[in-house]
Amino acid sequence: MLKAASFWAREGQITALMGRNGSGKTTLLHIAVGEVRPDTGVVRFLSTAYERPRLPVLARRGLYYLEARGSLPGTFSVGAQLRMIAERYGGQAFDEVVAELEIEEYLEKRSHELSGGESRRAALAGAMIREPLCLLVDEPFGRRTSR
Amino acid sequence: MRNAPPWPYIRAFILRATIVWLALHLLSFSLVFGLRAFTLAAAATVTLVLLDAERRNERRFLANLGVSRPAIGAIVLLTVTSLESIWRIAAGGLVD
Repeated sequence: MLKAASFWAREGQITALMGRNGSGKTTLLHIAVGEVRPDTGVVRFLSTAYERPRLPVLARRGLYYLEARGSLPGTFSVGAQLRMIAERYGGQAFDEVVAELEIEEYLEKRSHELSGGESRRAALAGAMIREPLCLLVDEPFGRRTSR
Repeated sequence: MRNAPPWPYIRAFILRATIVWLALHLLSFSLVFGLRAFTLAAAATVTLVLLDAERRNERRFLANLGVSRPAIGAIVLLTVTSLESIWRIAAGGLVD
């Protein structure tokens, strides 16, 4: 159970939420994107208060949420899904991100054909292409490969 | 191009809705549903396709693209209604 928790993330800064396993970090992020409804409280994003936040609404305003162990869906290839993000939001150049994260060889593969670290990098590429105003990442260093 | 809808996913939902709609018709051995049966079939299709979209990664990916579950439901419902209308016209023509 999470009691009386709150956190602020300021523009242009990296804000880290640290705590022991089971202390409620993921729950707090789930509340922030509307996955879990709190008993009371409010989520503020870009000067707007949301009593019942929903990720699609926040995402259209510039939020991107990358969950712990989250990967791109296996429905389509990694490249097809990254292009969907680029065509939807027109963020950072597709080719630059692909080159920076060295995922060229995975573009034609589906997420479930990749290792945990590779699929995490592909998911991170999606966030980078989006160039969100606010990026929420749960366990940002989990499952990352040494590259 | 900006603000482009995720067309591959939209096509996938239309395909899934078509498969479920077809399966419901075949399982019920019905050429044309009555109104009540159609309402049930449409509800079942939307539920089944939404449950499929509930696959966590897919739902999260689409949410990050700003696509909500009601939007997915609307696509599926529109597909089922269109298929049923086309089928009724065709089957009606055949009966005549």
